Order: sequence, then structure tokens, then C-alpha cells
Amino acid sequence: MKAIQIKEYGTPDVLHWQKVEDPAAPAAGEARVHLMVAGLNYIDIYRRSGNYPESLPFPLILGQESAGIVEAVGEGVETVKVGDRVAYCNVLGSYAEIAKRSHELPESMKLSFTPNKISWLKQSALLKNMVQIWC
Amino acid sequence: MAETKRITEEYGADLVLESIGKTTFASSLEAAATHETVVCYGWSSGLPDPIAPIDLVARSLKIAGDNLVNATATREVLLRRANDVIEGIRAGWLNLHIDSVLSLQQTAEAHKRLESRNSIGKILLNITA
Repeated sequence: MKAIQIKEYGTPDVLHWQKVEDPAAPAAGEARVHLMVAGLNYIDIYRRSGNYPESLPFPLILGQESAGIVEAVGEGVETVKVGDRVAYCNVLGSYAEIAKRSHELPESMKLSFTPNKISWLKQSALLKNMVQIWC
Repeated sequence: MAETKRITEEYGADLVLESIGKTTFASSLEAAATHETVVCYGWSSGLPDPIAPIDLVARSLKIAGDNLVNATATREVLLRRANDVIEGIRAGWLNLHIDSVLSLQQTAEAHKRLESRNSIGKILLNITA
């Protein structure tokens, strides 16, 4: 798949579009999602520039908000099925064509059902920003 | 802050949602009406300068903090709240403003736009473009 990776902290110039290995088939409790839209969040800027208090391994795929279609699920996954439209946030790796997500994560980071009558763009944007304000 | 005072005829805001941090926190406190609350949930301009508790006393203000993880701690709550928002968008009373849509290849450009602070609303990356 293609993804945006960083191999060092720095300006936007460290964001490189390149071919990377596809995520492996989902293990138990995981789902693999074909991503359609990713949202930018200011935390992405902090992480890219190294100004966020955490230590993450390079190379790194940033981005923590996305929406897409479930393309495979691992053993024991019951909350989503192949073909479901889903949205998630607070998990790194959304600057990519495919992402793998675990159901071991806290509830708000999990994949969520979303109805078909809302656009991919709105679906991606609403979870982190609008639901957070709504709460 | 001045605009809030103008619109409310000097009363102030019943609730201030503060996500910018360093550059806006002080004016957010000023914009809140007496007895009302400022909720902090982000710091896109950096962490705000510290204040002393006495700064809250004169107008009986309250400061609260929140984040999405705690506010959607169970799947039931997450789905209920997400569906409230989705229903609002579908019904039209809630407007989701999208600033711009770029391709995934244009992520660096999207970062520059967000950092420039000229964007208003959400910047999205269309991964299928």
C-alpha cells in the first residue's frame, strides 16, 4: 500500500509519500480497514515536529482519525463485519490506504458503526471534533 | 471576547469551549459570564499560561477539562453520542464545516495549511483520490 511516513521529526518536508508493506491479516480481536478519508488534527503537527511528550518508533505513519470500509476481521470480532462503514479516532496510522485496528483498545478508539446516508468526508470529520464537543 | 460581549450585551457566554489554549485562554475566561464555565479540551496554540485560583473568584468562574476518551468510556455512550451528532448533520440543524480536502499525497501541504492557522473547519485527506 501507499502511505505517508516520517523517519525523523521536523517540518512538513519530513512527510514522505511511499510504498510500505500492507498490514498483516487481522489477528484475533482485530479488523483491517480500507481507509477512504483521514482527518487532520493539530496533534499531528505536534507529533511530526517532536513536540508531543511521547516516544514513538520510526518509521512512523501519523494520523489518528479516519473512516473506511472493513475488509477483514479476526477471530472473535463481533461489533463489525466485512463491508461495514466505520470511523475511528485516537489511534495512529490513518495517513495510509489500509489500517489494522484492535478491539482491545478503549471504547472510544474502537471502530464505530456509521450510517450509509452520510458522506465519507463528514463521516471522517465528525467523530473526533464534533462528538468531542457534543460530549 | 469583545464579540461575545457585544452579542450578549455585556452578559458573557453561558459556556466557553476552549480548544486553542495559549493564545485564547485568557480571553476565554473574560468571555465567560459570571458563575459560568470554561471547558478546556485542547491546546492547538500551546499550553496556556498558569492562573491562580483567585483569578476565578471575582466572577465565580469554573474551569473544567474533558477529552473524548473519558467522555465515551463505554460503547453504549459512544454510539449514543455519535448517533446524536450524525442525526443532527442529517437533519440539517448541525453544520459540519469542512475547510478543504486534499489527497493523501498532499499531506505535507495539508500540514502547512493547518500550521498557518488560516484554515477554518476541518482539513481532510481523500485517500482514494
